[in-house]
Amino acid sequence: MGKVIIETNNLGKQYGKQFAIKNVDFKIEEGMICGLIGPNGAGKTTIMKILGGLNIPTEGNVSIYGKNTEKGLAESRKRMSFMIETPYIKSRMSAYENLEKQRLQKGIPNPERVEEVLKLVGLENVGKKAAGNFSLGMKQRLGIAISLLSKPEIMVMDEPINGLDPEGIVEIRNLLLKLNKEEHITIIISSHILSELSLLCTDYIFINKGTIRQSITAQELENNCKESLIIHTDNDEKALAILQEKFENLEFDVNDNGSLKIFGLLDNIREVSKSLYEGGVIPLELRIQEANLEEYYMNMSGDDGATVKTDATADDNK
Amino acid sequence: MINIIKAVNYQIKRDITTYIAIGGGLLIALLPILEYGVDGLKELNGGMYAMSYLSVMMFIPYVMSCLIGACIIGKDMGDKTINYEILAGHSRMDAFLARVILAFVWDIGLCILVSALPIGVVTLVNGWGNNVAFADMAARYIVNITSAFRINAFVILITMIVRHPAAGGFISYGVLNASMLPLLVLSETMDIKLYHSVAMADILYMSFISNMRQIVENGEKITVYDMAISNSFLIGAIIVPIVVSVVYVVLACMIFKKRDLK
Repeated sequence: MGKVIIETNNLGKQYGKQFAIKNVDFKIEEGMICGLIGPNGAGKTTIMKILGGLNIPTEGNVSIYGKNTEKGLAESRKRMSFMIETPYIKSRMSAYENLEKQRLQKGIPNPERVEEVLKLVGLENVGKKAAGNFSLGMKQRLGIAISLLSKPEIMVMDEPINGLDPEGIVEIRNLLLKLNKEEHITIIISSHILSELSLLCTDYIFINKGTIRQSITAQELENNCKESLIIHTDNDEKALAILQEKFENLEFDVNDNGSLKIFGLLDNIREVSKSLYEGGVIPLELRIQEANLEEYYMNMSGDDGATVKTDATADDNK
Repeated sequence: MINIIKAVNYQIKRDITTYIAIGGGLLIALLPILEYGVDGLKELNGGMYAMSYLSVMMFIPYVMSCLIGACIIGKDMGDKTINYEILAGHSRMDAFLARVILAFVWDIGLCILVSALPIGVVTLVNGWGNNVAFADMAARYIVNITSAFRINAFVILITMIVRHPAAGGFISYGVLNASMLPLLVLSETMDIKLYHSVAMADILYMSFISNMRQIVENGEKITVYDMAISNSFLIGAIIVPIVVSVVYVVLACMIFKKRDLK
């Protein structure tokens, strides 16, 4: 278990009578790539803005690198970088000038760092062009370049691959993985493209309607998503009793509709159906199910998950 | 804070608004040429130039403040790039104070440049002359600068409330303009002058030419203007704007510190 570097306690943000987030508790450990997953309006950006000091919480507190005072948090943020919502850029200034302004603001002594990050995100050939004329994907790259400027220890990224073409998505994914593995940068990332997150994240926080529904590691998620046998019969309770009697230490789950989710018997399907038949139970449904992050998320959030895109191309028209 | 000042200054120097303000200000400074004609300029001394320029010059600070001040304070809030400073670990106080300092330096600097440069050039070429006492005119220009402080602080407050440069500039311009109307009415109809009352008051009264007389010097008739202002007025015109400016800036700071950044 890594060192806890970010911790929230009972965090809440209220606008008038409405809560944007409530009772949010989570911990981020060093080296994590933590995916913040939730539908639009779930509170992901609010959490990121509070971490960045843009929003002031109405309840609870945040601790970053063990500091939770206003001054201490500001000090800790010097070790972080943020890309929240659409990158904030000066549209009349070139990509180079935007980065140069941020370099001066962050007090980075080496002016060559600007060229380095432009190259890193593939904008070296358009660095002199006005950023206002950039496509959304190029603006995203510029936002990532600004984030990388100060060589942060923690990167907080809100929808960083939004608007990128498939090639760009792969590049950014590889870049983030490289930064995490080689530079040991901790990353907190939100995205609607869950298939992408599943290729990146070591941990997930599921959030909906301003509250955290589940914090889970990638390993735990994998276990939860592992292949299972879905069995629905004319008498599911009896079917369960038969299978428990037949197979020792049966690992199972009961779905909302009463059907059974059985783990670890995929190699014994013949035995399963035979036992059920001999026990006098008529199988109505017998199938293999393999869940992924998207399905897991959809199952967890129900109708609220409808806004989540399920593949990279879904965001291309944004 | 010094890093923010460097970064915002870098941006101001690349902002077309800055050059519009400088160009516009210098263009206004050339207005007396229209009045005197190129030939007449040979006889125009520094004192007469300052006199001719006075009514125009007195109003440069508030146009300049509305333009430059609102841009320096509001542009980064309008496009949210100010957020990067907070996200990078600068305190809100630093982000605010850096902009306030720059707004004052650029605004007052440009006001001085636009007013002093043309007068200085004319004085160097044709001398100051005997039409007006240098000390009297200098006092009026000092009052103008202190009023510019107050106007700039007002623009900072308004822009901080609306968080948009154009809206901040236009609203400030409108309010400052409107505030002159009752002053003019009272002054013209009842001869009541509410010195130091609002930001535009002293600027307005300083632009009035009160007494002038004609004298004969070396056989030549010249017009002499009495532009002296009382010491008590001068002290009030320096202290009141500074106090009010501090109040405006503190209010603007409180607003910036307590509100979420979008």
